[in-house]
Amino acid sequence: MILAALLLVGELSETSRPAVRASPQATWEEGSLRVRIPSQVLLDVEVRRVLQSGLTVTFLFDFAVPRARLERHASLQVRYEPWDETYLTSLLSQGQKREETLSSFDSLAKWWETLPWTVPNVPPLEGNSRAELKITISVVPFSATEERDARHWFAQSIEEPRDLGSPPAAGAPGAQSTRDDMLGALITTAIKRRALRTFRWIVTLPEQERR
Amino acid sequence: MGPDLRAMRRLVCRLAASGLAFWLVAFAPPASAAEEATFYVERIEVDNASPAIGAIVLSQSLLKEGSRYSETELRDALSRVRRLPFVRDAEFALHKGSSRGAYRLSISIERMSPFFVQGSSNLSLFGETVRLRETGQSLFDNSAAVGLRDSVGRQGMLFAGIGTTGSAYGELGYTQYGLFGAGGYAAADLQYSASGDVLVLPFLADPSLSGWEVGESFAARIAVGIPIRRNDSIRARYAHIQADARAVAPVFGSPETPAATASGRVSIDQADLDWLYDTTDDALLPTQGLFLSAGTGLLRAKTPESFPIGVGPGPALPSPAQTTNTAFLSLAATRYLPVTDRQTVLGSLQGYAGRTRVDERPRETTFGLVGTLGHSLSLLSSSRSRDIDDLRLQTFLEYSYDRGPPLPPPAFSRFERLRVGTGVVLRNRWALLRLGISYTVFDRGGQ
Repeated sequence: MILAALLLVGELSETSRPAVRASPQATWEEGSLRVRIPSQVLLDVEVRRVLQSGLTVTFLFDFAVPRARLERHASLQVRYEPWDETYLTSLLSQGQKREETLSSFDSLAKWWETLPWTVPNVPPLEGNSRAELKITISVVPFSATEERDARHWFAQSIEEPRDLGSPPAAGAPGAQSTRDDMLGALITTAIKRRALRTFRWIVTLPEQERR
Repeated sequence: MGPDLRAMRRLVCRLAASGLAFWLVAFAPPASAAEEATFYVERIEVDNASPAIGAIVLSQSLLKEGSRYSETELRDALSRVRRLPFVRDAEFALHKGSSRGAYRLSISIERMSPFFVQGSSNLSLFGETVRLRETGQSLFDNSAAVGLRDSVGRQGMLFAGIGTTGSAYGELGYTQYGLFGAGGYAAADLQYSASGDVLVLPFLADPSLSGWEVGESFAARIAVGIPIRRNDSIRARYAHIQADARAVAPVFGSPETPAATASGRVSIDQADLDWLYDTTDDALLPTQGLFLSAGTGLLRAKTPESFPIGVGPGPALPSPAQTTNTAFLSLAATRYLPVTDRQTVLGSLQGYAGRTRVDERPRETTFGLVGTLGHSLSLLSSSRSRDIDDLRLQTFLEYSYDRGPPLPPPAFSRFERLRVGTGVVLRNRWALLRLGISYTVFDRGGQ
């Protein structure tokens, strides 16, 4: 109980910090939320410094609609390759892995702006007040792959990663790799490492398309 | 089978199970190691450091030029550098090497100031009477120290300081890095105090858990560490402590137990050998990582004759001088788990079990367990913390149980304690200051 109270106090103290000036935009598309996140995250001095280190930087995305008791998670790994002066990205979202190579920092920023973050299957939101979407991005130096202890624990304890979509049927081609990817996303979002920076927004959802 | 032996077996089984669980999670193979990028590091440079400091950082990183490393290995190396006592912060960056596919690793470090100040003030409150310093229900501990730590020679680090913990003391230490294939070290430390203080010996050394009021005291410690893998090392230590005893009183337990005068020398000699596994990111204020240790040791303690004062109508019988010899095994595991970027929770379990012989009496089993739950909250945002470094609110809940050989009443041979505390810790490049308060909820003694 004491620990829970301390965590709550700590969480409250963290939510008061200002984020970057530009705000994400959220729109409704066929029952899902489409979210665009400003690339100013990449322009933060600390973030840009570690991005240039040549080592992987992991961005952990948490999306929450408290009214619907809904949470979605995703992760993006970015590594600057000094020899080619390119940015290697690996995006893990909704059980899908997408890798891109971007030729410059400007390309990375433009690509970031176009990323179609989706919060699918949002149930009908009841009530008169406007619903909110909470977005948190934690910037973690190094890749998340070294969280092997957490991976081990979770590998044994997680059967159905419900927040990341339905896994393929057991035995189906690609089932294991997809499961590993989903497991990776779950771990990188459920087990926090000490973040270099954290950005938070609360976005009021547009009313006309709420169901 | 006696109740002590059964209880010890249960404890050993629990420790073994805990140790096995930690071992499994610590050494479980990464599920996607094949996907992790590796880098051929042809050259390593340490920025912002003197040649001696650079050489120490390089040797303790365990990285070698001309080798290939994964990001996990580089992360572990960075943690090793950050755990060095003179390093405030460190970062790694990869740059182009001389040919395609080769990299130059740049290690930039921010040093702690060679001059430093340490201070601590702690108010201890107790649910039961404490005899230590005859303060009754509370104890206010203050300590302060100033010192100098700087490099000497090729990979040496000299430490000198003066301080007070109620009595003034001086300390001189030296650590030689770069031994045993580069990653090892040897350290020696001397400490002297001319004035009196209260010395509470470890339970394994003095099962009566007494506070010895001492005058002149002297301590000498040596340690040798040898890395065996990137996060594993073997450490051997020896310590000798001696002090002139003046009086003695039980710290906890029956308040009716009288104090006694003592004349002679209290001494402890302890040698231990430990295996250590450490992935924590900081030596003093870790925020993530796992620390495991398992070891064995020998301990020999001598306490002088003491004479009770002011008891009963009849003549008081002196307590004879006592020699305690213990061979013990120890296990410890601490997990620091960051739950947000500014909050860390920790769980720690430490245990020991030994065979203790007091004077010529038969050997008896001694064992103990300490479990700790803790929480650490950074009071600074990450953007400000680079200027002030660390300002943390730390809170803990600690339970401990110790059982030693049976002692004649009114002394106890079993202690059980529950303690809770909180404090604010400030650390920057030249100071480490702590202000705290703790409350001992109960301490139960028994035979």
